[in-house]
Amino acid sequence: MSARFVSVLYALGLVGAASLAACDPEKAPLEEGVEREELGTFTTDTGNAITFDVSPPSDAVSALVYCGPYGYDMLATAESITAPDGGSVYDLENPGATAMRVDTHSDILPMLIPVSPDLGLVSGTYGFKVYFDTESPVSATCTGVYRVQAVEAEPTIDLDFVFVGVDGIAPGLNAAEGESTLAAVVEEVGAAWGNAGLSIGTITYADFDGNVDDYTILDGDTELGTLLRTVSGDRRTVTFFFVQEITNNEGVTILGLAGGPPGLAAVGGTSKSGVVVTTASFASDPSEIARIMAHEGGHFLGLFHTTEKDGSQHDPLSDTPQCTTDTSGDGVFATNECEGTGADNLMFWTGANDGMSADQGWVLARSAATY
Amino acid sequence: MGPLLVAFLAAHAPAFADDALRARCLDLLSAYEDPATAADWRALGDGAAAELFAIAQDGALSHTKRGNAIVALGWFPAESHRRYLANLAVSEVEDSLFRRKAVFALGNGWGAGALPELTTALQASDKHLRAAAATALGKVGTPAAADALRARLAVESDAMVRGTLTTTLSAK
Repeated sequence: MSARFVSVLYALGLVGAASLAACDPEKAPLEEGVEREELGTFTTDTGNAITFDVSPPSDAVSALVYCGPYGYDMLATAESITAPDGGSVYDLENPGATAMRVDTHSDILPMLIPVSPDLGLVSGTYGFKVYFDTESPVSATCTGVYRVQAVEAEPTIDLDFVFVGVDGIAPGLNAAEGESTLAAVVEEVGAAWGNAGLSIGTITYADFDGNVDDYTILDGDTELGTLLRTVSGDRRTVTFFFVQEITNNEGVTILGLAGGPPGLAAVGGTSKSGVVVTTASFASDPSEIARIMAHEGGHFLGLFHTTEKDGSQHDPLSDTPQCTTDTSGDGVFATNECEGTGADNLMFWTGANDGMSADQGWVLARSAATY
Repeated sequence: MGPLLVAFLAAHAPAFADDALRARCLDLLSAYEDPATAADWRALGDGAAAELFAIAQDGALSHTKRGNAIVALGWFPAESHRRYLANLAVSEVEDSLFRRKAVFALGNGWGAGALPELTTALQASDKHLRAAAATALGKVGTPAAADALRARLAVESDAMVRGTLTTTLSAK
């Protein structure tokens, strides 16, 4: 039985979540094509940094290097990354100088090469220097995840859906209407990613097997990492957790959050191992759910905002326009101020658009989660 | 929606006077991970409050946009907003999300002044509303708020809400 056929049966309410996950003979973890390397455990020097070398396999098309876990009370970022030829891949002092981006993260620091076709992965040894925001000595374990599978002309992504106390959406609950709406949502996600050449493959469905009440209204500040750590196995998928709502400490709803960016593709059990989606608008505006999934999934797979809300940063891609005009002067780079300069892109910080660029597709096709 | 709330909304529903401002508000309400702050809303000027009030009641919009408009009303603490939020918080027929947002808006905007409404919400049949009220009372942080939290903890039977109450009280 093909995965797509099973998915259609699921959408029609003819099979349940458990049978979908269990009966699909094609749904084996796609371990082939990805190699992992324990790089070691390193202790900070007097400059609060660790240094280590990474030599991806010569046939690797991407290298996801991560360090941690080091806890939620500490922040880290890349101080520098040096290419095999000695050139700069990334310099914290001058982050816009290269087509690379590394954000600041708690608990686990993910660093992905490449995040732009302008700075591809090359054969040889890279030098990493990671800075920790603490005066106390820190020991951190670092790992490399290398995609060695060749890039496909028409890449595919598999998805795992985990329902966390969302009545009317979760399999086996309010059945037909919710399930057909979910099928439409998935179709919209596929259409958005299709603009970058990415197709959705197999989808598995499961109910969250932990304490639903603890997570269905998720505190984005304190509970996100705990939920994402429940992703099991090093599967080449994107795991989407559907919760009623993510909130911040003022009670404001956050539409979605992704581990990363970039997320730890093909790495389970970490605070960066998946994506969480607010489903409060599932009935009133299912397209909103689709946009959240496509946008946050894009982050997980290595895409950044084309322009951040405050205009301070842009993605490292040359074919996505950068919005540099805050005509109102209110400190927010709004959609109406960025028309023609990136606001129509799925990865703009806000809005309802699904545009994607060729460079974005190039990045998606090299993720360890796609194939 | 209860009849009292319908009447109240009808009396207070503003007209859209500024399409650009409404578009700007909806833009901020569509942010994926980085929702608008109190400063963002106030930067739009006093007219933003009227737009938020209208958006909060616009059934054609998504629940998240309406919900976050409700929270944002707390950053414009006019008495009319307080009455709207208080009615919303206690309305058993309103959507649970909107009631939670009203509770947070009351806590954010009026602090200790919202103690009566927050304490009432702490007794609601909806456990997620009780948890929201507990969190909001924890942010209020006064001795009276702590007393209300302890009183609820003494009778609360739901494990999730007890956990929120305990965490909130221990954070003081």
